[in-house]
Amino acid sequence: MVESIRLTFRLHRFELLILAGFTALVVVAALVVAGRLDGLGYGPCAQVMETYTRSCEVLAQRFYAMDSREATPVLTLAAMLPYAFGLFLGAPIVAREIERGTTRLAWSIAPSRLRWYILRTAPIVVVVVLLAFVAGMAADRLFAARSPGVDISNAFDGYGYRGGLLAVQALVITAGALGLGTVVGRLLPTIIIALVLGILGIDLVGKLHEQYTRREAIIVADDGEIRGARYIDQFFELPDGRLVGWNELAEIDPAAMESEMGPQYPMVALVVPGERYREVEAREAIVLTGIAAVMLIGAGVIVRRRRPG
Amino acid sequence: MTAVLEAHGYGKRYRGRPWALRGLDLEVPEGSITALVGPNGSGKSTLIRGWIGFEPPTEGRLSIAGIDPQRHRKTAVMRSGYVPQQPALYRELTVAEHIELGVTFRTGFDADLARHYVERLGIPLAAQANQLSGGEQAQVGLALALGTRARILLLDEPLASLDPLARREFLHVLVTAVRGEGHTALLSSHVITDIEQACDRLVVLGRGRTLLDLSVADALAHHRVVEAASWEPGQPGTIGTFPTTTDERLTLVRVGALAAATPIGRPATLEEVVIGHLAAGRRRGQLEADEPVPGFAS
Repeated sequence: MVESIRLTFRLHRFELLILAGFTALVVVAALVVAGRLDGLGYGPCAQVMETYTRSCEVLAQRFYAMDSREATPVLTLAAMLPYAFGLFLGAPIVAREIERGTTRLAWSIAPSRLRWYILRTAPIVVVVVLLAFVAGMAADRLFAARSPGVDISNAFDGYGYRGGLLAVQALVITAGALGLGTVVGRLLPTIIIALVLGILGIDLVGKLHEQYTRREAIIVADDGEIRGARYIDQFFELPDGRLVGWNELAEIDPAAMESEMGPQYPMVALVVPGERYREVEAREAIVLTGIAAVMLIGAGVIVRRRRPG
Repeated sequence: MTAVLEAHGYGKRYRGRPWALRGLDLEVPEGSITALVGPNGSGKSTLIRGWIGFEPPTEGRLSIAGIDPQRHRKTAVMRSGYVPQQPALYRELTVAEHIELGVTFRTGFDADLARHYVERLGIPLAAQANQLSGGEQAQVGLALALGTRARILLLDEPLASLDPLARREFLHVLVTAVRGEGHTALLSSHVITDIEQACDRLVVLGRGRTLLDLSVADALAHHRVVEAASWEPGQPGTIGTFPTTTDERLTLVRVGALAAATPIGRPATLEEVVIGHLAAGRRRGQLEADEPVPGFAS
């Protein structure tokens, strides 16, 4: 077993080294930038508005400048990691073997293609999940630093771009690219199709989940202090208690829309409270893991049935 | 004589293409080294891949050591060692790692035996696969197939990329291993001279069917060549006419036991036997093409 894992890593050593290096870079950068943001000492200003002083303004400028200059690029790189793992580690597992014809050798020696598939796939999938999880934790730390005063484990800040979800996204894209590769049997087309389908798929699941989550959202006063909550929508509250959006309000009270000060109705927001972050995150992770499992099993079935190329 | 490789009414047709093989009946006896010869596209690789379970038949059936390779692919793979047409080694791995890979893939893979053959062929175990020549890669493929200790070896044109010396070494290893262990080998090849030295049986495929299936000794004993100009076409025993490199045209003639008493022409070489039958197959195909045949697109 150990030898088999070693050989699988040998077959993917180039991609593994590049991606492990890329992950290490993202992790170190995230931790360094988080430390630098913390080091500015902007936290107390952001947490208690009453103590907001002139020096806080100076700190805020430096904080947000550093955030956009350093934290945003690091988090963008972290968000790319699941795709990089999926496309450069998931896609080649079977597609490259079929393309190069090595499946003819492997499947003529290995009586059980399923065993071959598991031995070739499992070590890569485990590494992908571990590396992406570490990157997700580093992204967690960076989001915590850029949201001072917010308990990041109970907040939707950076939802889908940090924590365990990053690892699950990497898993599902890896499984998808792997499954696609078993059908297409060629590496480059697999990478291109997997990239498009991965982006669309993750986006679709996110949107469907948002629709589902919307049913659980609550109405709160939109006073700019709904920190950590997942913002779903915004409404005006009419005197009779009805909640209406901009378009609806324009029909009901056109004069209010034309007023220079804008509509004077109180605004409310539809949000999922930050306290529910873990639950929502876990639910999306379970759905994505289920999709990944189906794709991995499907790829195994195709491997058992297809020609070696 | 027990047949370990059998084809009964076997046909294979790829989508949108004419039949690669059709109505093929063939039996390869246990303990033989059988040469499978035919022009490109005659279905040699398709047949070999069918026996190892890589290609499902379109019609008819195949069996390997008495089992259907499609229904019992695991057993079919366990009972066979396969050397593919093009070397298909992992370029990222060394030769030694390929042998280790064999151990991880297959219970009972004999790594020592595979190493022994690799060393005997003078290939460094530490060499990276992508640094090996095509011939060396084919030889590593053979060593891996022998390492499976399978009783049936299926070799799909492994000699194509080998230089003459490497071909000789390859065949020497193959023949020693097969004869020593009482295995059966099916070797598809274009190189007739090598076949004559290594194989004891000859099967010629052409136009999707068997044109000849004889022992090498019988093939040589029962064929003669005559100058085409001095031979009346259509005489009994006429097989096919083909050109030589000196612009001469020869006719291959099958001689029975009685005719052999009054020899005609000269004994045919194995290459002439093969070429004569291929020419006959092509001629027959042309005649068939003139008449519409059900199942073939015109």
